[in-house]
Amino acid sequence: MPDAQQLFKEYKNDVYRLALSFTKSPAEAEDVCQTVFLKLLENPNITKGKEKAWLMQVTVNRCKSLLRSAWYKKTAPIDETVEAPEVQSDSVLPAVMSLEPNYRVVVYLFYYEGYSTEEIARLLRISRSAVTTRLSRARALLREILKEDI
Amino acid sequence: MINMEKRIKESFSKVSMPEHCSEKIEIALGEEKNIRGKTLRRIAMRAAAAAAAVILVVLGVIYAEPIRAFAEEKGFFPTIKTQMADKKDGEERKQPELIGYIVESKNGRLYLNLINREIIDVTDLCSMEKAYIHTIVDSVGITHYIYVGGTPDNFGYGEFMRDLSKTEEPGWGWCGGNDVNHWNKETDDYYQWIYDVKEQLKHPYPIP
Repeated sequence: MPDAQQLFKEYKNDVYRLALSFTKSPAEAEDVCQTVFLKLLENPNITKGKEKAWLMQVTVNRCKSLLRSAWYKKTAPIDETVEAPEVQSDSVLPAVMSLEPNYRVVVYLFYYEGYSTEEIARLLRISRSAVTTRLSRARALLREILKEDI
Repeated sequence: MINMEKRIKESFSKVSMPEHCSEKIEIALGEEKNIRGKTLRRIAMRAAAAAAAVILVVLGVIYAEPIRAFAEEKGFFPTIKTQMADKKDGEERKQPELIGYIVESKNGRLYLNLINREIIDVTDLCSMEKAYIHTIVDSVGITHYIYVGGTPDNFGYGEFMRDLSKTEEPGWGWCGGNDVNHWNKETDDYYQWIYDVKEQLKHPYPIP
């Protein structure tokens, strides 16, 4: 397996974006990233070429665990919305981030990462039909928010 | 649609890990590697056993999964034996050998095989909602919590380690069962007994 620091440099933004898509909170996303990358050191035998898939899966697991924790539910600020570092007028990030976690994550994975619905289903451990349903609803919500035909 | 896809891509591409976070993690990665390498290597060995469990499930071993966890050479379990393996990075590593079962479903009962060939019938001690936890303190003072949940038809188990002196990080050990992830596909959630493990241990683990 390549060096952990090398993998960190290569995939830090992918992991961060995914964590952010789940949590919507930059602070939480940072914590998730730290946990995920430190886990790399505990798992030195990751198959070569599968490092990103491993990181994404661990990130998903960590985020799911976080979102369902009683602590998170009690303390997560409702309005802690991610603002893109430099939000441009045509950025759809605020709209995507205003969706529920289940929706914004599939939007991120499908549109940004380019994963197929089957790959997303495997990653999130949900059925393929659940993925397509969430995508469809997310699109409808985005259409409403952005008042655009998407 | 194409326009929206493009806009979503462009919007997300502008999101990157903040510099302060990146620096913090890079430092942490360096420190973990150099300072706690010994501890982490040990945990990594356990993770390797968990990986072995996954492979065996994939190979079709459904019930009575012959986990080869290993509990190092201390021999917590009668089913585990370690043997010397090759040297890697100048360090001699031991590999677990599969010689039996940790948790076994047999004749409609669920058994936990422990040290000194002690066998605990945990059928009535756990359920889909409740977990049974067996605690063992090893010779170096690490407390191992062996948990079992589910039923003879659908069970899972694993190990969580905690150093009560807090000189080592808590760690996740081997795991196994019908589904090593203890994931209920119907509810898209962990099985309830996993939450009971967390509750009993008062710790975020064992959900990794």
